[in-house]
Amino acid sequence: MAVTIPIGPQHPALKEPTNLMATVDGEKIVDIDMRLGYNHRGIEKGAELRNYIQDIYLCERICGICGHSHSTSFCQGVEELLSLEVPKRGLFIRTLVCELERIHSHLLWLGVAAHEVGFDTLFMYTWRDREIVMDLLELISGNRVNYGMNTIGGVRRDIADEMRPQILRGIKRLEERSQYYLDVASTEVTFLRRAEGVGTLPKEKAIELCAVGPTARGSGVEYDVRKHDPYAAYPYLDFKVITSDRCDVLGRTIVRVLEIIESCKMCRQIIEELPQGQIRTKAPRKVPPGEVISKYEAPRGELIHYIKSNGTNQPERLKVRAPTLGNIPSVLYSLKGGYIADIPIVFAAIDPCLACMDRVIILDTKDRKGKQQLSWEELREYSIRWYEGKEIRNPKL
Amino acid sequence: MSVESDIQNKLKEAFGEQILELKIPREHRMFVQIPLSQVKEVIEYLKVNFGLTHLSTITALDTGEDIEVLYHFFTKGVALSLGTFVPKANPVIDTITPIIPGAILYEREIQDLLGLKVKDHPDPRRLVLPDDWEEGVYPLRKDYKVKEG
Repeated sequence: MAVTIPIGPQHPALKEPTNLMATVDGEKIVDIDMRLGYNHRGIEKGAELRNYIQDIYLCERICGICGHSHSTSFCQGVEELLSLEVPKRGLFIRTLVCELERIHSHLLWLGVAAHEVGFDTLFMYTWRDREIVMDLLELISGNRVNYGMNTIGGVRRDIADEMRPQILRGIKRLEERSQYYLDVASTEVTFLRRAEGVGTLPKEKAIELCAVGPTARGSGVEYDVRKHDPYAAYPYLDFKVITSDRCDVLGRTIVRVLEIIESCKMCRQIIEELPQGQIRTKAPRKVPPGEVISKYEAPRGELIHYIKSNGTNQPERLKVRAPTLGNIPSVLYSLKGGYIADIPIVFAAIDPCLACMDRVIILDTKDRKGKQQLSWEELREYSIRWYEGKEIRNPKL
Repeated sequence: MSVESDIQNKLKEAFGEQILELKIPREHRMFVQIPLSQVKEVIEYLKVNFGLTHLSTITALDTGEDIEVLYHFFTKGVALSLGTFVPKANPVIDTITPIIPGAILYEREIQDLLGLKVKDHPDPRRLVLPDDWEEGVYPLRKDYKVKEG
């Protein structure tokens, strides 16, 4: 007899809010459905109400892990609308942060995946080593997350010559550690048993369902925006597009670990070949009417921004499609026919980022059907009361 | 000959006057505008002749009288955007999910946020808006004003 069990929106196995409705027959999943939108924040609407400079920071906050992806994608779109040529040094620094961000995101994912299969030693190891790249990002940008590196026309912070040896040392260490993780992921029996043949996504299905990023490449689809629609400094860099024909969770893992190694090589090349010169050009505040598509290979896959300008300092429309949304049909497909125990790892294998995917709840102070929604003021008063209750003296907010 | 101009020539040959506007702003980019009635035919034609399978997303935007719908495809290194105008008075488009299965969620998203009706969609439930969201209120239309709270 088939039973439908709800998983989420609040559930210990999920890191972010979403809802899966799994119809199961015994341990087997016969059907699965997903409800999105618990993290919808109105960013696309918000972008229309702000100017281009404010939107860079708004875009950066779409995601807490790959914020630089969104701000780069937005900035390069606006630069194209302005026909602005970014100095080569600016492009190289921008790309360096892109690749460091990919390393940190993939290491984070590897830890999460290891945790989902009950291999917590690997989780501890990867997250320890991830600190190396977090330190490098902090060295370059001053921040561990939301780097604030991008601006329209280039980047905001330069890389001093004194930083270069430290960055190279960090990259070397990360490369060594990633080699070790490649060994672990491809030979360690504990991991193989939980990843091999799990969450299968055949190549034809991946193409048909428009899968992107490591999810598609783990099923043998050779599609990487950096190679097939080059942007920033990628035309100047040597790198391979990593694919795997395994079509399962293990394939996606191997693709990501090899991508870390490939990213390390790119970072080294950028540091060694960093051109001299300016890091940005001055950009006008008003953008002439036009439309543009900006694409970017985020850690999770193809990211696309569509920007329409109307001659003012605010965009007419900003459309963002984050890679996770593109991978939802694929993950639902690969969950079907599997076991309940595999749901966390199969779902984690697309590296879901729901904050990116949902983007928009609209703040509405109208009391709808008796459901309580708090305005910003009410929320602030509530938090002041809450802290006072804890006997923490709150400075005047 | 570049892929962009190849697509341009073949499209003009096959559809002639139906191609209302065609822009190639730079390498890897293409914008094509077609009438609403031709959307499915053009997508099917491109799928057969240019291996069009990857839909990146669908953008819908409020242009006043109409809603512009843009299908962002990617094939053979070209990001091809297929645009069409849908009158607000009758905001109905045909589903393309049977041709491009990956379109299923993007069509649901524009239904929620712009109030387009996607005819014959296999799963027309809400995607992003809450279940108790008022019917007929579409947040990404220009007449929807955000109250700063």
